Amino acid sequence: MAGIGFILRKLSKQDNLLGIMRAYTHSTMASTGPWLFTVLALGGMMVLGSKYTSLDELFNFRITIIYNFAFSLIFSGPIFMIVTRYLSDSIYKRDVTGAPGLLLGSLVLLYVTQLPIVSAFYLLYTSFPTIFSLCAIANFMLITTIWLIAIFLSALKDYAKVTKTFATGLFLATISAITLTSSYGAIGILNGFNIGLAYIVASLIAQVFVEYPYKFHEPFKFLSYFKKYWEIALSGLIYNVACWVDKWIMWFAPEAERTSSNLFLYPNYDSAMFLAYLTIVPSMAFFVFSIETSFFETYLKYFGDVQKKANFKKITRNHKEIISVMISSSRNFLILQSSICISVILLSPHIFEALGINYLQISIFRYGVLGALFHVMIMFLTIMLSYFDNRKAALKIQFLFLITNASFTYISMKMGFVYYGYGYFLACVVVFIAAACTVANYVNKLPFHTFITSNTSV
Amino acid sequence: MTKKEADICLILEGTYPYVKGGVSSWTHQLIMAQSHLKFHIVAILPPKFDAKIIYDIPKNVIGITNIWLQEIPKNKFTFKKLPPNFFREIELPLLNMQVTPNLAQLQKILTALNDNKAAINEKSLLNSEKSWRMLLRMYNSTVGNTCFLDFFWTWRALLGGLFSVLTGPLPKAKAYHSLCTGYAGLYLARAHLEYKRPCIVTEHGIYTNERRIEIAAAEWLDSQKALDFSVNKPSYEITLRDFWINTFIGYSKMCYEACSKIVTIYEGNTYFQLADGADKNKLSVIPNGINYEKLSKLQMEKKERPTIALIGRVVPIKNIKIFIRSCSILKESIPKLQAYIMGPRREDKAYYQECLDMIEHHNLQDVITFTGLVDLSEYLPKIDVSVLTSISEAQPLVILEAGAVGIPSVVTDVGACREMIYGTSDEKPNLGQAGEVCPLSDPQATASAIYKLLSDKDYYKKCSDTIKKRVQKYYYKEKLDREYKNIYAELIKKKTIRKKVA
Repeated sequence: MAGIGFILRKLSKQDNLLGIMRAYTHSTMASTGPWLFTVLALGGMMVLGSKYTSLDELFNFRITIIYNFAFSLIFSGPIFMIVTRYLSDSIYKRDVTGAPGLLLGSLVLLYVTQLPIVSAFYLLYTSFPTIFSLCAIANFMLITTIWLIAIFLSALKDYAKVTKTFATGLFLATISAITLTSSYGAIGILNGFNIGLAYIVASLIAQVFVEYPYKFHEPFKFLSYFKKYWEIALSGLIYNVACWVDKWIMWFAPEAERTSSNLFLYPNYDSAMFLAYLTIVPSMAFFVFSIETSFFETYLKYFGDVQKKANFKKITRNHKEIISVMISSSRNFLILQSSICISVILLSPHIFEALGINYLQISIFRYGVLGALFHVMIMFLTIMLSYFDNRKAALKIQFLFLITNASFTYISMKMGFVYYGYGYFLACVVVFIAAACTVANYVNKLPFHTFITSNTSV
Repeated sequence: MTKKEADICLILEGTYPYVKGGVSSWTHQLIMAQSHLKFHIVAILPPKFDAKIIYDIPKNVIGITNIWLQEIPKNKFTFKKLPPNFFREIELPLLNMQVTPNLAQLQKILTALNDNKAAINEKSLLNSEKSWRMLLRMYNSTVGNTCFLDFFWTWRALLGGLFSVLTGPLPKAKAYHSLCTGYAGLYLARAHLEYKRPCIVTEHGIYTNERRIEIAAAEWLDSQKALDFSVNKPSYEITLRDFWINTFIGYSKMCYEACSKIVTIYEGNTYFQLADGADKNKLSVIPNGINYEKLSKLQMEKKERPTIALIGRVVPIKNIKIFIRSCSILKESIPKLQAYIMGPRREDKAYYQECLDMIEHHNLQDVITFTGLVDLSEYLPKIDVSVLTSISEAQPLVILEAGAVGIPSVVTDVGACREMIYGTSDEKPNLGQAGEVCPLSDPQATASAIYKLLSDKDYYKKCSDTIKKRVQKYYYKEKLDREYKNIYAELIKKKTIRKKVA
């Protein structure tokens, strides 16, 4: 008699739980990497550039770089996130033979969608000379390419090599920019910078092909992921917009400038913010380190034991361990980052004097430093959520960040110069509280979420 | 399909009208024989089963209701919530159903479900935090030391099955008839509690036995308590296997409690039913019957060679290889022996090939012939002895079909074979022996039994007469139809029981 035997048979396939683990095992570098590069490149430029503010050429160069970083991150965000997920899944399935094809396909997609927009913007909208516009377009494409290749490298986990490549590239960029300025002006600086970036791109691509020595096949297979993981694609867009929206709004402040090249900019605000972001670099490094070691260990143990037929007592014990690791890491992080934050705020007059920065920026800078403290914590909390594959909650937090950052910044802009930067700071605090509550609530009920809400076979 | 109330609601699990097999064809013939009654069919099906009807549904079937296990009514756009104490209310009855299953416990669960119809969906019953907490409580109070992942899936499968059966649609009928216990039996118990109409169950095989075999074979339940060396481990500790089996025993018990009559097709089954808690006074045996009139008119052909036959599908459960080995032994004493294997050969092609190889190995190509599926009225007159070497059977009709023609059988001691050869305990007067019963997988015994029948003319004649008489008296189809006709008439007549179940 054909009874219900099939139910029993179906149950022997329980490997779906493990699917959670494949989620974002290398999301840390993927999310922090580009931001770190942006902060270092722009912040470093502010520091170095402040010595040459008298140069008109530098001004055009700066504005181009800021626009290119901002918009390349935003436009490539969705593609970036989808490719990250697709590659993670391939790594999880232990079949990365599709990686070269994926790189090719995603580069084609990136260029096809972005080149027309960027070309139209520089050639038709701005009033830059054509030669300068072409260099700016090249610069944009190089930056956007770096974002994409970075995904493949962070998957390799050879951070030392990647860091070396970036350092060499940026050094090369600085040297060639300074060398070329004297004879070619703004175009010289931009191309000098491009040379450095081109070195990074070439060197990274070479590293990717060394690591994935396979043939190109099915380059557009990843497109199906846009439908399947639309939340991820959307959160890639929203997150980057949220990070930049306060700058855009401030470009329309009464004190902001509309340059002769038709672009908006508020150098005092932008410089202050990028300088402020530099303060989070040490804690980012700390975070990447601690998530790769203590957190990941407990995380693997938790899911591994569930799979290895542990009883619930053991699951509870592992669950508690995850919580305690998270609490102790946050405590260490908070002590580190708060002390940096407080020292920088107290020392800011000296720092500004030493670097020769405009004193007008000092209050924006202080709000920026405080905001960055919470901003970086928001980032870590959303990474936590993606570790547990809670895509919807991560998306909600990023959406809240977008809304609050935009509206609070707008209000603070309306309230006048004294409040500039306050909007960003307040938005970060509000979103941090929301994110912390979400993560605490989620992690507290981790077994429930593991077995029910994140379990794809339920 | 009309909305009229049916006379009989038939409850089937994974069989008619979607899957071919013994129970399905039995059901089909039952419905056709009771053409004066209106039937409603409830088919309980595996999750996501593609329900394609493969039988010509008789005209007196007025409706078919499908219930897919694990599927709980959607109720997507409800704003109603389950009351806060809902899971506390059903938790104890659910646990009790493991230990002391009875209708009173089931009634509590049913009441809780029916009182909150609007708030019920998969999320609220299985995927909510409250149900998760109940799952943890149940785990801790039962198998708290075993693998949680396995318990989780067990819990979900069992509760998902229970809830889908208890919340699915329930058509009205004057009486309910289930064709097995298990989920169908649970549904029958629910029908009994909700509409207070009389119920019966007919068991062909014993459901709990079949589940036992399956659960014992489920490898994923193994090594659940890896390396538990603790000395003071209580001996009464239950395992997940017990959890599964107790659930199905519970469903059987409640089904038996709800029924006013518990029928099976042969006496051997009644002992299992008693062991599973059936009331002795409700038990009865109604064997399957055959068309005696038609078959008994067949005239035996004159044979040149002594001929035996195994009538059945070429599959391992029929143990064809033992038959082949018996033929090999028999060939020594009866060189002119002829043997047929009559039945479809395509079901297990690898096994068929193994049989062919074996025949070649024993040099039996001249003795054994595979005929494929044949018309029995053409082939039965060609044989002297029918042989059955199966390792499992319920009530094989082929013994009766051969018997109606006057062909005695050599059978293994499985299912109803023994009682068809020797007569049941209520056969009065006992008609005598109508063939031979052999132990399982014993080619020597089978060969000797066949030899005895083929060599001793008087003994053969006696067996031949006995089996013919027995089939004529007890195993003809009209008798089965008449008995069910009477049972149904009696059930339909019964007044609705108003009194509450204690």
